[in-house]
Amino acid sequence: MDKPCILVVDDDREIVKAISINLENEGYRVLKAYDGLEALDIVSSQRVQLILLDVMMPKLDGLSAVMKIRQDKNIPIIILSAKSEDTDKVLGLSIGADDYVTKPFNPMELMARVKSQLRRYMTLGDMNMTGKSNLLKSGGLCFDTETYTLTVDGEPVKLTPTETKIVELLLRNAGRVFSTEEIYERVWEGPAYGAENTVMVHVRRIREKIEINPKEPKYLKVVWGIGYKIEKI
Amino acid sequence: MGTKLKKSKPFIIWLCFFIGINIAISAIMLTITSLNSTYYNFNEICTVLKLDIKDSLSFKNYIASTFDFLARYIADNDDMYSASGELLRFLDNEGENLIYYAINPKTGKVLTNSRTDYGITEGRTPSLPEGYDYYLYYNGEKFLAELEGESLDIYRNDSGYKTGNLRYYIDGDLSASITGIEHANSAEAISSEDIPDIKGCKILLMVRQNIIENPYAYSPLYYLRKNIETSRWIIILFIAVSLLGIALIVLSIAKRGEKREFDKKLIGISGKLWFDIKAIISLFMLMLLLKIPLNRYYSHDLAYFLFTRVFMVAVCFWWFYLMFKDLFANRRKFFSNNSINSLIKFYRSFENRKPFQKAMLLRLYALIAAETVLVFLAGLFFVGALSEKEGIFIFLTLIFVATGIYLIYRYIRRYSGLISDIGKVIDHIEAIKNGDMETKLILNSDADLHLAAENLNKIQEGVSKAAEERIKSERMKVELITNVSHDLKTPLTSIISYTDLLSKEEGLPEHVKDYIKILVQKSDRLKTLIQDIFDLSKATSGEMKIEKEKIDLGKLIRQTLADLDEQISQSGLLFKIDIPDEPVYIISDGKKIYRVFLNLICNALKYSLEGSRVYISLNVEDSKKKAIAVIKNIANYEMNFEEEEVLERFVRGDKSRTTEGSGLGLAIAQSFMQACGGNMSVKVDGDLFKVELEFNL
Repeated sequence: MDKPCILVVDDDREIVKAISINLENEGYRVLKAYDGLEALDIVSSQRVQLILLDVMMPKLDGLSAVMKIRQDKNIPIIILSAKSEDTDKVLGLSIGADDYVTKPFNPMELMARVKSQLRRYMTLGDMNMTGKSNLLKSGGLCFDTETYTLTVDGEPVKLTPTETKIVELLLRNAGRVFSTEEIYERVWEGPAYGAENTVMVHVRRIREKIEINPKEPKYLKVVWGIGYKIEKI
Repeated sequence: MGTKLKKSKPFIIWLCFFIGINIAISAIMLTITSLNSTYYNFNEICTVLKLDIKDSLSFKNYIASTFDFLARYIADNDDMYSASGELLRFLDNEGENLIYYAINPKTGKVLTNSRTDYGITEGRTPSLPEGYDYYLYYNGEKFLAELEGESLDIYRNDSGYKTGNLRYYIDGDLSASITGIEHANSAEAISSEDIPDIKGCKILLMVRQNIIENPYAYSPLYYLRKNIETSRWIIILFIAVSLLGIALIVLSIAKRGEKREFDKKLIGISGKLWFDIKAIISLFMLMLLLKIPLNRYYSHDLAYFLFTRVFMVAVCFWWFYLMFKDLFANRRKFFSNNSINSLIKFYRSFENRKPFQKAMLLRLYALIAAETVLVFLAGLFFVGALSEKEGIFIFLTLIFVATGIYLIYRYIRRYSGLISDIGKVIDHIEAIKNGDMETKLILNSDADLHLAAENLNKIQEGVSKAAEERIKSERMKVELITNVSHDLKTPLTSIISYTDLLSKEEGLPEHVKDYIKILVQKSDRLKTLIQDIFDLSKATSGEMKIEKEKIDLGKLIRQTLADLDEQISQSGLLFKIDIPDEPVYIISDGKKIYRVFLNLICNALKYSLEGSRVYISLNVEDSKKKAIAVIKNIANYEMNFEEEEVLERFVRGDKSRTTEGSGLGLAIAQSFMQACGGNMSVKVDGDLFKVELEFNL
């Protein structure tokens, strides 16, 4: 199988170069572009498996480029942007990007995100999931209710029995917020007296296992002062 | 020229109206004053218009008196009229105009200015000589008369001959007339004994067809004719003038728009007059109008007639015309423009130059002074009224009392207006305090607080402008920081990426690896610093979006602690948590409050004395409707700074330390608290560092 080909687009050449080095070290093929139009050219002429894209670029900005690409391509796109506001992230993701990484980023984190996106796109993308009804899914998160195993972007994650129960509960009701008491009562099946901390610590551990950056969780989110939920993606 | 005419057109139309109305007044006055004998006057006017002297009343009167003279003279047995033979001379004055012939067969006395008897002595009806067309003949039994060949029936009641004493002769039965007393009361009537018995006497009067002037003597008939001719012209003129008047009035009505325009000019002039002066003039006019005589007018002096009747009526009419127009146009102003108001206005212009507090006192003093004077005057006139019993004194007393009451009323009205204005000003100040920068305070331009209100409006404007400016500058600041942070992040991305690549480089000497480690650390710190500055500036400028929802504060603190579980257990610090089991609900933005606790707990983790305890407590104070969270720790350094200082941006608790963190933690916590509607305070007591967070329940 060919080495996956990744397109890096940014008007800052040094950043493109640094990312390229990192990607090449990981064994990927890298294509470079320095503005949106160039990126569109490459996407239409070559086979690209993933795109890393800056937002603020000359000629054609990143968001417009994402929209253009999304018209006929299903390649994973990771947006790289200095805009770190929640609203910017929401906008980028809703337009069709698969991930949003704020600058300045940690190169290791970026690599992890690239890997996870590629894994999902290349190995899981072809799999016929619809036939299996015993799968609970949210984005790259996939829980098999028969085997009681969790995979993140196709990568199996080892969970303790309690953690598995919490994930199952939250995943079954994706999008719904569960208070700590409720989680305790349904997982431990007993009255929740001062047991909140236990739940909270478990949730933190799950987050560390399934999230690339636990401080900015993608799947298991804290609703401060209320409880926890798994996003419905 | 054209424009000049156009400009003066209203005036011309108004002039037409003026003249027309004056003519109408004259005509009406003439008609009213001669109303007493309408019937005769109407006949008179007709005969005068026909120029038929011999059909006119004055002619018949003349004939009647002439006949009376002749009758008395001829019937007088004792020659009682012979001494007054000159009476007959005036008949001779007529010259050819009048031929008379009277004969008394009892005495044989004959009175005539003619040589012939025209056959009357033989008992025939008289035949008129050449040039004569009228005769009146008494043949000893009855009257015969002829005019222009036609005989007249003078016995008819409307013949016009039953005038003067002639009616006694005509009414036939003289004996009845003599004993009759129905005329005794009449002013004109001569006592019945005076009427002579002319039975059997023959009296003939003949008048020339064309009455001519007698150059030798005064001919009454000629002047009668002259008079009638003049009257005729006067009547024609009167009718013509009346028609002109009607035409002018019709014209002015047709062009009433222009007329009104000039009316307005007049009203503009009359509107400046004080009401009291108008009232006095109107009263005077009314009295004048009541005194105008409407009885029949006898004098021949036209100027006197015009002045006494027409002129006065016209003046009154125009005055009241103006007053009514004024009243309907100016309405309230008609009354309010009076001497008292003018005086008050004058006083106010004087008052306006004084400062408010002085003006208010001055007004009270002025009122007291004016009232004193008025009471004194009223008392004076009242005493006068008591002793003199003169109407004018009582009237003046009432005037002064009314003026005094009016002044008090005005003062009270003004005062209550002032009170309500003060209320408005107070309300307005309250509104400004509450941030209403739009509505302006509008007071009457003559209100005492007008200036104050204007100034308040200006202050409001200034404040709102300043606030706007501040918001604008804050927004610009945020924009600047957003741009700057973006511009900083881009190169920082390269720095971090390349230091990362460097750190992965193998075979580097140990000291170079140390350098790289420092680079990695510092670039990481720069990253947090930039993000923190950005967050802080957004929070302090009010640009941060707050998404409020109902959250359990206790749970939030526990969640935060669970999140930091690892760091806490590694720190070697003992966390003493005192949070109520039951939920403490507040309405706030959970993410922001989480950030506050995260920053504060991290702060405690960083700067607590090793092995010491960190206390975190949450209490609900129902009485104040507040939830208070307290975080206490013992500092691991000497806190030689002010409590406020620590909250200022870029001031770090430990000045000497320059490790990780931005130094903005507390500042961010505080600005986030404020943005969420809470409050954060810091207390330093020796080594005890205490942060208190106040939330509204």
